[in-house]
Amino acid sequence: MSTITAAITGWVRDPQRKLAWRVAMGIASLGVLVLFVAIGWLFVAGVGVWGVGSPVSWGIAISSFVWWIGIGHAGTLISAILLLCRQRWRNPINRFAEAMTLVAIVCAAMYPLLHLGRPEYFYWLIPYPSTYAYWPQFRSPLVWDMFAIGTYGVVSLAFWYLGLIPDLATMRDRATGRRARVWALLALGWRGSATQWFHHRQAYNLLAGLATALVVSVHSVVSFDFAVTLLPGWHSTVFPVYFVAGALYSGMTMLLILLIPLRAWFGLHDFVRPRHIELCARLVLVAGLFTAYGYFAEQLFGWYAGDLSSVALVRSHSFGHSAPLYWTVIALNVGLLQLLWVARVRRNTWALFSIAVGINVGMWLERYLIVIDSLERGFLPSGWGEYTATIWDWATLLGSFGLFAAFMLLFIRFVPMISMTEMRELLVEDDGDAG
Amino acid sequence: MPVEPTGAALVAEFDAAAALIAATRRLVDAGYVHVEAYAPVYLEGLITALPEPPTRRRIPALALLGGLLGGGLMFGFQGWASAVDWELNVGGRPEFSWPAFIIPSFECVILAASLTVFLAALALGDMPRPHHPIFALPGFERASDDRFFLSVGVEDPRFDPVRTRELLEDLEPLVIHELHV
Repeated sequence: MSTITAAITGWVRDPQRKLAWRVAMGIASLGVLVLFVAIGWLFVAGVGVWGVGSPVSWGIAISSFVWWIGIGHAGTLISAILLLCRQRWRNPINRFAEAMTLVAIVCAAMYPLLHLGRPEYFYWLIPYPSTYAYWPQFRSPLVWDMFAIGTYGVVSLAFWYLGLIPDLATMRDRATGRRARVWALLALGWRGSATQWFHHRQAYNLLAGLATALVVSVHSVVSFDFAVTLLPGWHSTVFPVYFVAGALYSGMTMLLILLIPLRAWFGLHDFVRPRHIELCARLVLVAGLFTAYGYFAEQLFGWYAGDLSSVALVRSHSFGHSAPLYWTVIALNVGLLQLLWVARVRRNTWALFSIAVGINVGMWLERYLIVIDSLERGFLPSGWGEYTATIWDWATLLGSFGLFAAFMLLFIRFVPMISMTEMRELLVEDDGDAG
Repeated sequence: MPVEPTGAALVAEFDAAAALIAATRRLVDAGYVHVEAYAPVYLEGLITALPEPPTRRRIPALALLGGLLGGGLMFGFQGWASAVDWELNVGGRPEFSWPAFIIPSFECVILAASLTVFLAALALGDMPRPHHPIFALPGFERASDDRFFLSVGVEDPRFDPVRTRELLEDLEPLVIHELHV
């Protein structure tokens, strides 16, 4: 047990590879700077600096929002759903995946607020007794979104923090001086008494159950932004399922993209075994097949409904206007995925990393296809138009990657990135000395 | 309920989870009540080995209450805001469009229940509390690493400086500490 404590606290107390971390943080900070500049210019000049207008009023800001929220869902899958399923292999990657969720929520939540047009009035979404004596429009998916994502952020933070408390106490007990005081404040007085453990465990399991119900609702609500709107390709009941599956799919690949280099960088091989990586790859395969079924269902319903506009959309995807993009998405998200049936590919970290990157790009393009293609080709040909993302669109996207990287780097530097308590638990169970 | 030492106490230190659980059972069987056990990891059988373990119903009941209250208030509020206080006609739909109100209500059920669970876990675990007498025990920092502790407070009606120490020594701990406050 003390080996686990020493190794995991060591990464925080006596960090190795300081130079590499600083270089990485420097690059990430440049990304954050780009984001600040892009947002600053948006505030000065207005939302028109993005390539949005009529008919394409939602550009890559919204497709990136959908994509980022999806990234977060894989973290909740691992931390909450696999906990309830008693999948012990999740323990070493749980804390890390949950941190990914929190940061992805931050990256995602920024987009719709910036997209409001007048972002300074974002708080009008929140029902509060104002002197204007009005209330938000509760039938609007935008207000639902605010509730869903706000709740997701708060609950994910509470769940993450609750799991972190015993580890914060371990940090406190290993630090001295002013640092010990900071850890002591954060640890809230954890002393590992049987009473504390009992309530902690019960609360943790309950939060996992609540988070499971929540995570399914969040991407469903995001999909309502589309499904509630009357546009060909959007107004469909398949959307909630399709969005949640796609969310888990892109999120699991993002986890692999982060986990594989991090494992090599910090030498996490004792904690994150090849088995863990392979099981993640299997989850990618499962989520990918669900998403592939979503593509199939979309085509089938479009054709079977026989409605002029939905048939036109199917045609446009298969042979027409958006065919190049559509087939790229299919090649990346369905074609590339098939390699994961092969056990040797799942065990080869290089191959797995490349596939994960390919699929994640594919998932971003899929969100682009959903958001922009339907807006470009509405019901009336007279209302058709084209969308081109401007440099400020791309700068905001690039900046969100910088923000994500910066937060993740801060996390691996200042927080025990593997849950010590959950690793100890595996040890106690293996020894069978729990009595 | 297990009772943590508030003043002086005898604290036995063990190096294995099984030893702690066995020792706790022995101490409780001997009739001690001011007893608490400390471990660096959640141990399945530990809480039931202690005197009068806390009920399993409390946090779930609070969560249910919190969730129903949060969701119910939100649902009522949306109805009141949209149909009574500020009648809003959107495309001729009913002012009390309750199906649309389900979604924010659902989110508020989860939000309120989760916050209740989080706060209840802290409150029932006597947190936040930055300092506690047990922290004064030399070597207690290993309670969050690889050591297991069992405390008996002097307030215990059965406490006797000699006999209690003998009983603890019988349990074969690594060492018996005296906690002075």
